[in-house]
Amino acid sequence: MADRPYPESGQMLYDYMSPLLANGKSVTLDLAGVISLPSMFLNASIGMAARNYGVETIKKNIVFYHVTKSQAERLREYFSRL
Amino acid sequence: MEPKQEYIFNSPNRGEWLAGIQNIRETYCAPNWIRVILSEKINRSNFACLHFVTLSCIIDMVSKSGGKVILQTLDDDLHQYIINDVRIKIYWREEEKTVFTEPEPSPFNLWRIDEKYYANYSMALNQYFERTYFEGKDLTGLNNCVAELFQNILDHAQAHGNAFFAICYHEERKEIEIAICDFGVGISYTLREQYPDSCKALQRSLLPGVSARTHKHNRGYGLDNIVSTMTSKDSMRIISNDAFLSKSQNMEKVDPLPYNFKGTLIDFTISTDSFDELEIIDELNFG
Repeated sequence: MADRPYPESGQMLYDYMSPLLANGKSVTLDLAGVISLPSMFLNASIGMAARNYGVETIKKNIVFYHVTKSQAERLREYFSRL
Repeated sequence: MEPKQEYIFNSPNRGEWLAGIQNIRETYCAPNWIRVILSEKINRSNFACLHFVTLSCIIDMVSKSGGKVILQTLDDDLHQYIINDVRIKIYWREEEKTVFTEPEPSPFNLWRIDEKYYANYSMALNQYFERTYFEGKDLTGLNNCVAELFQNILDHAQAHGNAFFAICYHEERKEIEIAICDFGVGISYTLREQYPDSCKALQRSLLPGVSARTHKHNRGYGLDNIVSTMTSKDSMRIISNDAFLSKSQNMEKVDPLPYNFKGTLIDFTISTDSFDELEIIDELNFG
């Protein structure tokens, strides 16, 4: 997903997560090396997943690893708005 | 070919500078060559990011119309800086127009906003600042800011390539200065159906959830994300269409402009005091 526009990489992430979420499986996202989480990326990935599978499903099934403190705040804020 | 129109900028003052930029936009006759003169009152120390991006947009506007800008800088130091250090000409050389330029080893960088390269810019900018001034610091906020600004232009501006971004780190003030300008349609235009009044449109554009929704990834959190990370030492100014907004953490003021700036200019300063030490959380879940 590196070197791609954020909406495109967000879509790629959604495409990866979707079949897993559809089958009730967990998704593990390792954010090591991820430098930003802008809204267009989150909207195209997490936001899309929330719309299609429900907010509670993604809260239960998505786990983030190696998150910076700022990214954690960002994600908390984003999830709170879903 | 000799320039047929001449414009003189006598002051770096924001209001006067932007009035001068607007004058060029309103009076330029394609495909004339024009001369733009920066008086000796405009020098390297007071030539800010906003001057660079608006000047670049003017040059691009004239270039796309078939003309050329002859830039005459009466301060030699500034002339050397613009032509040799920043190398502003490269953006209008045929063979180099679409090249991606790595950040220069200086605290200032100017880039044309191009969808092909903006992921590269974000990455390169982050690596540059990590390596130099902010090793061990969490730059997520800055990176998010840059990404949101770029994407707003790509999604909404309809600038047809006439959009520029400049960033400068002022080590002595511990501030990062950013400016981004496009000669597109402007924020108020994109929100006109919801908010016919330009001032109201500009104010509302900073609120979460307000969006032109031109793409499925737009949900109106772009500018709000920038505003919500502002600390008490940060400030932002936006000019778009016929409205001017000035904002800090505890203040927001919007006024009508006496002219229609077709497009958007955003410039702001970020205090680097707000950059936290990088701290990694092993696991985060919301279940």
